[in-house]
Amino acid sequence: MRLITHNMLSCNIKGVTNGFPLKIEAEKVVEKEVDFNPDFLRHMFAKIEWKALVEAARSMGYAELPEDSPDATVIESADETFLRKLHHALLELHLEEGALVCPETGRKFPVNKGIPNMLLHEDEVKQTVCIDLRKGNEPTRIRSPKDRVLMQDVCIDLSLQVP
Amino acid sequence: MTTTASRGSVAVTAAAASSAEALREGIAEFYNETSGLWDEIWGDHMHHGFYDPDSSVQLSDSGHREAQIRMIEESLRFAGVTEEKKIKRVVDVGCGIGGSSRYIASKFGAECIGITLSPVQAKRANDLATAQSLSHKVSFQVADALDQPFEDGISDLVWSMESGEHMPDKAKFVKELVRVTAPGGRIIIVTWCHRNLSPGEEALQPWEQNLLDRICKTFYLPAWCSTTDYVELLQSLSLQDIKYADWSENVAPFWPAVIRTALTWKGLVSLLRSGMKSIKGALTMPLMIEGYKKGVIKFGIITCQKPL
Repeated sequence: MRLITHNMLSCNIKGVTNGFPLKIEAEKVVEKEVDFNPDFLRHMFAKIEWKALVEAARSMGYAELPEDSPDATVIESADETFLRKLHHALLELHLEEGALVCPETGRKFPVNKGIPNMLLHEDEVKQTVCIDLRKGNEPTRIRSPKDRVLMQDVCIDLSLQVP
Repeated sequence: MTTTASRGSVAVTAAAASSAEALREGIAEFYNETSGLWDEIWGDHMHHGFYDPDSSVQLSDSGHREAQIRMIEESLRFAGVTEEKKIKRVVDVGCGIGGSSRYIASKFGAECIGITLSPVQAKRANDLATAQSLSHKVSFQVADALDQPFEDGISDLVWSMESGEHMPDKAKFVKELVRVTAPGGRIIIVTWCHRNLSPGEEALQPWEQNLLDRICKTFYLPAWCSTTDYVELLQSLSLQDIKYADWSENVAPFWPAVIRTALTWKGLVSLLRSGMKSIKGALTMPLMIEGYKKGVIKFGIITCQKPL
């Protein structure tokens, strides 16, 4: 997993409001060279969450990025010193083994062979309780997608445990 | 059963939750087993080709590959996604082995992140990205389309190419697509649907449902909905510029072509090597053709824009 990807991932366990950025527990970091493409970096720069990138790069052993995000003049200038550092941090550092950790809950999402597994467990997913106004007191069985589609208008999202 | 004017009892969907988990595992295992076979015979686009309607010319293998690329281009064009500068980040929901992601990232110079339930697909997708020198632009992870690991509004283009069929909860699926789209961003859903129901029609005919049920079992599809269902969901979430089309005529040559490749020597040997899920999948393909011919199955595209 590269940091350009990490910069987009967040924890979406039910009830979590500060799931970004994920902390990195690095067990194995590999550096892989990638062709330098300044145009791509300039195109992407505005979308990068800078503090998250700096912190993540440090966790991966790279501390060359400035603390504060440079302004546009630095990005657009002919001097590519900064862009090369950005390139290295964003694209050449790979987290091969380790974990991404939710900053709010501490839940670890494993990273194996460079691939994060962001699947939530059943109890981490928001449960939806549906009341079907059409069926009176009869417990409702969702028989068709149309039922489910209709029911979404009257569904109540609970962050409490559903028995 | 008594029907009263008062509100009904609460229906707990805990049972539905654990069957959703089982479905998720089934989908992952299905694609873990079958993706390699598809990749070997058809390549990296795991979706229908787009053809001129009523074209009687039998295409070569490369003709079908081109049709699959054309499907991506036609979908982008239908959605009005043409300006390179606006597309910086793309999310590919149900990315397969990453064909669409790599193509779109290349086309727009954008960053593309794909999610799939299958670890085998994610690995293969990343390997292909590396082989094509695109690994700085595209990446793939294991995640659930119904609970996407992204902050709200991060994506300029949310792409769902033939993955909607696998979603057990269409409402939640569409809500997630919308959540992840940036204001002004676009959503493209290309999916297998059943025909729209006529006014007053509550459900498909039993024989139609039976046909779809048999397909559902083999391909790990929870249930089908119609194009209209998607449109209504998007309308309820106040999306704008909602467009949709029936492309069933434009995909007609696809399944016969897939069956032809399965019946080649290479196809048969690969199927036998791949496993039961692949074999069952191959045996189900004629049902797809029957479904299209009888007007039960439709190939739909639905696109929209999130308001600023």
